[in-house]
Amino acid sequence: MATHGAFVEQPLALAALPEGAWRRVRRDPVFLLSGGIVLLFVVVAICASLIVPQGPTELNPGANYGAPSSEHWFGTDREGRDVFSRVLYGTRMALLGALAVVAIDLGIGIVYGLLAGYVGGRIDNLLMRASDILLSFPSLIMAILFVAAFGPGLTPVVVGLALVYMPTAARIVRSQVRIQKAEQYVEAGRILGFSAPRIAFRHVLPNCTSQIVVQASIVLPYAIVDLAALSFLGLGVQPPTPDWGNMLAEAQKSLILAPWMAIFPALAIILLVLGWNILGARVRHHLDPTQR
Amino acid sequence: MSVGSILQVNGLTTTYRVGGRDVPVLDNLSFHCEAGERVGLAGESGSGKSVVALSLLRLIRPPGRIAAGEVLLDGQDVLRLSPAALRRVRGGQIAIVFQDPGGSLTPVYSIGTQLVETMRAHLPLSRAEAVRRAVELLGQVGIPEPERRMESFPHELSGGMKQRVAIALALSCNPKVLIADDPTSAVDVTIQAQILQLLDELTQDERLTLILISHDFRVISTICERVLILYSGDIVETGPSYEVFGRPRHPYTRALLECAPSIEEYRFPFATLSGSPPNLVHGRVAGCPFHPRCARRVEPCATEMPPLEPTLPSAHAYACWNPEPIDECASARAAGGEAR
Amino acid sequence: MILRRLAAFVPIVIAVSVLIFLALRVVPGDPVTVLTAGSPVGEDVKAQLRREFDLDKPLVAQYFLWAGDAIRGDLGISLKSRVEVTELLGQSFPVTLTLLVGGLILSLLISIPLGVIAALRQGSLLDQAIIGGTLVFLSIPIFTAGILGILVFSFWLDWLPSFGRGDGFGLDRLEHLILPWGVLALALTAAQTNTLRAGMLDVLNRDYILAAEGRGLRRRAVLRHALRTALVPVVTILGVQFGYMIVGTVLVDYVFGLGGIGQLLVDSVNQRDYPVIQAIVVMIAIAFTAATLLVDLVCNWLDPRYGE
Repeated sequence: MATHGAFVEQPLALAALPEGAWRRVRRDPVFLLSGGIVLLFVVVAICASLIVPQGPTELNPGANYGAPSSEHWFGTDREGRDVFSRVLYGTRMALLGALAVVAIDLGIGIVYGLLAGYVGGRIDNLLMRASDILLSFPSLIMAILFVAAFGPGLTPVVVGLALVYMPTAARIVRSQVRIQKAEQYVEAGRILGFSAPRIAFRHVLPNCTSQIVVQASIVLPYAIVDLAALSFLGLGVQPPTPDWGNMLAEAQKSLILAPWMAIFPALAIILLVLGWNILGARVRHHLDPTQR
Repeated sequence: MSVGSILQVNGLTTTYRVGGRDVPVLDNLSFHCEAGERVGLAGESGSGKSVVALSLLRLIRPPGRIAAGEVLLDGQDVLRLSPAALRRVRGGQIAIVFQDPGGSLTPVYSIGTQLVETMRAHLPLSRAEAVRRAVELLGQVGIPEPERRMESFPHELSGGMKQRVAIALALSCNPKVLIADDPTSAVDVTIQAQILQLLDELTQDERLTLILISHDFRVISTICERVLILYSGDIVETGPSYEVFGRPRHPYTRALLECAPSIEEYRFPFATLSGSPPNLVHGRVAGCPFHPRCARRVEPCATEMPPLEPTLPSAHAYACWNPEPIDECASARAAGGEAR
Repeated sequence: MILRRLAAFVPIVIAVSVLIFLALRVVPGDPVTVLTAGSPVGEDVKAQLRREFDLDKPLVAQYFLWAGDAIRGDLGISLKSRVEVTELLGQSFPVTLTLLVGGLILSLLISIPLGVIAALRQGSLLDQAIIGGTLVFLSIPIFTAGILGILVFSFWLDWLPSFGRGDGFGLDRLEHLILPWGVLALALTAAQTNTLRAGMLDVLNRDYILAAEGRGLRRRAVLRHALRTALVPVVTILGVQFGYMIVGTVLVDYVFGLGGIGQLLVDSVNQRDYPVIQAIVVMIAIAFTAATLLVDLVCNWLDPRYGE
């Protein structure tokens, strides 16, 4: 369950797949459409430099505030830069940044949860109290704090967000570990003389993967949105590096002159997040038909 | 068909939509109850007994619906009442106690609130009067310290107590008919006896008719003067309980009685009834619904449903082409021995 | 469980304040240097400034000085504007509060009826539309909605003002709040509607609702039974949403330039105005923790089984 954000959901039990589920998923038109959209964004992110007509910071003198045309599909901004190219590059920033957040979040969270769940006792108590402190911060606020300390940029923002998402992942791993600890194979491992870390990482952890994967898929869209919001505030990705967030901030100043500066980045972020959410909803629907 | 009966059910047919088809769970069911009578409805799980209870109050929800029939309460057809009149009947004329004691009580309201609310929905009582009456009722059903308990929430009570509260709720508006749908199977044995005793006391009143539904015929024989044996949505045998349990004519009734382990007579190996009630998803069984499992099966059984005969009121009637012979079997007698 | 949370509240608050305090001082280069960057100021003046802001004392002492003052209501002085932090907060707080409360109420006014209707008409076209709608609105980031809102309602339709908090106390102020309220409510409504719908569906199928109908209670009374039980998950989600609400308020405030805490926070971060940042972040963390506690209390009142 994601505790930061508005959409509270139940993690899937991927272990119990109803028969024919994957077949139905593959035939679902909505799934295919949203999956296609997400895939498109991923491809764009990877190949951005290959498909852009112009560099993101390339100036087109004299073409400031140009409306969308055959030459500049999304128009140009105040500096005369091609909005289309910037939106494409922004995709890369959005996805890479979000992936970084999720990676750090899970990286720390898994170790944290394993430690707390496996060792238990005082350490567990301590770790949970510490994570309680982290949970006192709404997501963006921690990132803002980091920026206040270290200055604006992608790194402080990514780390700040990851720290706030971490306790949820840690909690999930921890409770799974506690369940698994009671299972026979852990006892068997101990008898066989396996060291605790070995049991924890090589045996207990793989059993938690489905929950972790689900958590990652839930957090990703939040990471995308939060990163964009921070860039919008001027605290994240700094101009002139294109990011949907800071593009929207710039667009706001010239909104009446060049609305396309805002429309296209806005559409980009909405489509990506919506596509991902619909994808998740369809998968959930097919894997658990009892959900209404 | 009986004149003067307080409840008369004619041709009740309730269907459930399964796999694209409307399957009749109850098919052309008819029975009646006299005022003040205590009637038992016996059947296994899957016989449709709970559906009967819900149908009488029109509480069947999609994918189920009541397809045909009438339920005459004092001459009025419940199935054709306006919504407002139906509300008055529910709780006011016919009340129901469900199997799961926790299930009838809303968890977020205190039992006092629920009692008062129900009473004021049917009776012209002021708040204070309703509260007084509620405390009185709680005392009648055997709840200790009723005033204090008014403010308790359902989850604070034990299963037995919850069931007593449910009974109090059901009787709070002085209904004419009380339907108790398997009220004892969800509580343990000692509580079972208490609940039954309570029901016995409360229904001594000639003005209250009891329909007790259960799969355990001993529960029924403790209280009910008359019993209906239900199998797969049809009544296969009916009559005074001591008659039916003492001299069962329908093979199913006989098998049911024989299968019950008896403390007095320890039989080994246990008699069992092979097979299970028909799965209605594939449609109703042709002919007598019991015939696939019946040891006394003869030719007409597979094609024609035997009529329930004789049709005189209060007679011991059964629906079978080849009923059990009249000589009493010792086991059936021992099993039904407690019947009055 | 509630008592345990209450007892943990104070230590958490303290820990949070320490964390924030340290975070801001972990980087070399103290505020004075930043403050005086670009102006030809002599070292002795800088030293005097440091003394004035207690920056020459050890960290621990600095913390306790600050904490001591804070408890007594003195949150320090803004480095940039030399105004007392409490005064700055006092100016920005009312707007933020108005925004928050208005947005919350608006969102509940929309989400409760929508959620109930969707549950009652489960499977219908209306229900599916509502589910689809919530999914779409959940996917629109709040600041994006703000910008698009300005574009549509302010520039194209010219119905509402696009920026600022307006003048006076009346209609103009209200006009400037409509779009911000709408945008904030949009973000909150979607999740609330979903939760309430799921809760209602779950409850409506319960036996006790059938039993209530069987007792001859009016439709409205039966719905009340259902709603009361179904509200618990909604209150829970409100608690969860509180963090989102705070963040949303900050963003909406910034986008529309309302002059509330959001703008104050971002501006002071950009200016490295530590006392202000400190005060605001600590306040937010405390408010958030307190809100979670409050939610627990309310849920316990609504559903007596909660927490057992």
